[in-house]
Amino acid sequence: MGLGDLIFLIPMFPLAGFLLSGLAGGALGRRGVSLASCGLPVLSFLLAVGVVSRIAGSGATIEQDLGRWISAGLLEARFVLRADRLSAAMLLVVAGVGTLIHIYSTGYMRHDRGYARYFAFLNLFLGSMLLLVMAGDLLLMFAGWEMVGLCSYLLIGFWYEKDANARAGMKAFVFNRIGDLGFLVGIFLTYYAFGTFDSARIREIACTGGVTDPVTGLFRAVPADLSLVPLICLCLFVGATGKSAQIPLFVWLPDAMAGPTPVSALIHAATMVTAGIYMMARLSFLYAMTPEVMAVVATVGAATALLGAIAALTQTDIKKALACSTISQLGYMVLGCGAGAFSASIFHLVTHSFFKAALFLCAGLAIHALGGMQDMPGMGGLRRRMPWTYGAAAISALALAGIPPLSGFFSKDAILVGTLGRVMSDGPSPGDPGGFLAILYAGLYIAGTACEALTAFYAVRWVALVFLGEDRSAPATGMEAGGAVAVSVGAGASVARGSYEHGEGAGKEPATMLAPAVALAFLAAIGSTLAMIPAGGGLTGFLAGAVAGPVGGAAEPSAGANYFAAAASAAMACLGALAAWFVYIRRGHVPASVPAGGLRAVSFRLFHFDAVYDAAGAAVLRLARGLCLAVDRILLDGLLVREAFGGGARRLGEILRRTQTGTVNAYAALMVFGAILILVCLVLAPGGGP
Amino acid sequence: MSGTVFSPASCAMLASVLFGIGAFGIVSRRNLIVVLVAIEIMLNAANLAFVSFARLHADGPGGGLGQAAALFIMALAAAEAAVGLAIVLAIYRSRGTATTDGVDVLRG
Repeated sequence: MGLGDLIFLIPMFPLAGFLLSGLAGGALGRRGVSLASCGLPVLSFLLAVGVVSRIAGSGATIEQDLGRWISAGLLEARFVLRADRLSAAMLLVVAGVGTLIHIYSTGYMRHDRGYARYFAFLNLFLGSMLLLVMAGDLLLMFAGWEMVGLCSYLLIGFWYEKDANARAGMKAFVFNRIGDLGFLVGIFLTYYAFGTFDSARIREIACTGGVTDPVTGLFRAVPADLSLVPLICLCLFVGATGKSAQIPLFVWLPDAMAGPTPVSALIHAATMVTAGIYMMARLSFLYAMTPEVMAVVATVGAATALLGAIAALTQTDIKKALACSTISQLGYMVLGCGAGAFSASIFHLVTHSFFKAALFLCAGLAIHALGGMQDMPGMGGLRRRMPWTYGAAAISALALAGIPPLSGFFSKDAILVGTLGRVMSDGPSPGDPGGFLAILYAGLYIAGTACEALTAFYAVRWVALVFLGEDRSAPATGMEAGGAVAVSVGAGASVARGSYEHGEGAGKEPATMLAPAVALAFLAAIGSTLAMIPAGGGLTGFLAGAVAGPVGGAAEPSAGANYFAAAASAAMACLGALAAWFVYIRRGHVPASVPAGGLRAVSFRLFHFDAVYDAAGAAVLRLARGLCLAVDRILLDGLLVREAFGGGARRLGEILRRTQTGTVNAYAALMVFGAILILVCLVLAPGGGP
Repeated sequence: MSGTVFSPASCAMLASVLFGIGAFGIVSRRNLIVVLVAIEIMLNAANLAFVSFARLHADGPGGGLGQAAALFIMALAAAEAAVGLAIVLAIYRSRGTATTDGVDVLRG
């Protein structure tokens, strides 16, 4: 039994943990639940390391066919798990970061009543995410996609006693469903065009026009409807906008912060929200065939990056600021996909999962230390009480800011270089005489670079408000001693979640929580080495065969362009960081918990997307209500009930009731008349008569 | 019976006239007792038809069945009279009248 027969265990270990904690959580006790739900992901991670080292060595794809899954007529979907270089990179991130956050959770959730339930869901999420990453065909990927969405819903609303949390979960679910519809339609169209769900086969058909039998080496042409590819790519992108929080479906992500902080770190920063990026990278060869759709993707990505960054500038909730930052960074990844720099997007996905997870874990430590407070204007000065947390957070924030030589700089630079490459390769062409695409990508490059300054600004601002300056948390620390604390600071901006029944103050960070945060911060710092190792072009070279290369055979950007982009990024990042340093550290500015109005309020409320959706939703509901009312009152009640059926029956009854005189004589007369009529008929009938 | 002229046609005619009188009585009379009497007349018209045609076909197959039917009808008429009179009595007791006009609860 080789390694290839064991890869199904990678998702199965956490799924077994889900059953164990979910069904026998009470019997296992907290210690047992912790052991099972952290130990099984560790096993998955070790197995994933084995798989990845095998793939890195040989470059071969490991595939395991677990039998027929769906069979209906000509349609057959098999349960195939596949590990190639792309999924290998994702496997390490998901299993690695997932394991660290499981360990962190044992500290963060240790006083929670729903301990076993929490770990059951978290394990289910990890198994589903690994299934999504390893799925060999689109249907299985969709199954994983839906399962992680379910886990997201369950964990956002984990503290369901609070109405707002339950509603945030529902909101996330509903907005994801809108995207899922696009994904599903995309899958159907793919099957219609290619006759298969298997992503490797789709790739073979799309790129070579047929299938080569692996045993005999015979080539068989498969007719595929390639004119559908742009539509397929658009539909799949709709799915990605839902899961990866892009305009216009991003509004669920800030609300998703209602869940426990480790969940925000794992699901809503490091892994699940990157599923859309992974899906586009997995089908990158389809996207590479449609420059127009790629332009749409890139534009949406850049717009989302800007929107998220601007929104993050004014957030005062410690987690919401990070959530807006996640939206912005996901926008960068989508921009990379749209620019054809798929491997750069995956690179940024990896580094982002390190530094953003680390930031969330630090946020969780700060929240814990302050007894559940999440309002940044009420924090400050935690640097002295929590030096390790401060160090981890500062390194991760600088990595997020894109300060060289930390990892974020390299991955974001790779995306921007890819965008710049499109500007240079997309000159006027027969299909695009005006060079429109080149102009568009130039604009997107400028937007992405400008966004670097904003990123650095909010990253430094976040650290300054939480860890630097004076300690502004005096009232909250007073409440800590009171036992169970439910702090609510700011008008609905930040709400304490869950039950903090402990009273330990800052500075006593438990090792189970501190170690994962520090480890992730370390990875965020050295993640840039991914650009150099493994030998041969770094991560980009590692992924070269697994995702589509630069579109249209565009050459790699020249060294000059590379240096220019790097210098511009670094300059913008330093500029933003300096500005934030001046405002929040030098002058010690502390924003109000809720901005009074003006442009700050626009940013704080994420450009009022929620209000627009509320208004639009209300308008749609009003319209639907009016329509239903019209149909019910006019068509059903009026025309059908009152006039046609009801009225007709009543009028007929009015006429017929006159015959019911109640007098026996009249009935008898009618009877006699009837009898005579029958007699007459019998006599007159042909062949009748005496 | 001997000496009289037996004519099936006259018997059928008599029976028809009797039946018509009975039917007219039911339709026209208001008094429930009289209605019952009219019904008796109609039953006897049928009886007359039965026995006269039984006499006519006395030698044929099934001869005598007509007489048997007449006997049945007599029994039926007796039962009908008993039940009918009982109903009339009950109506009189409950509504204080024995005319068809007084019993119109089913009027629509």
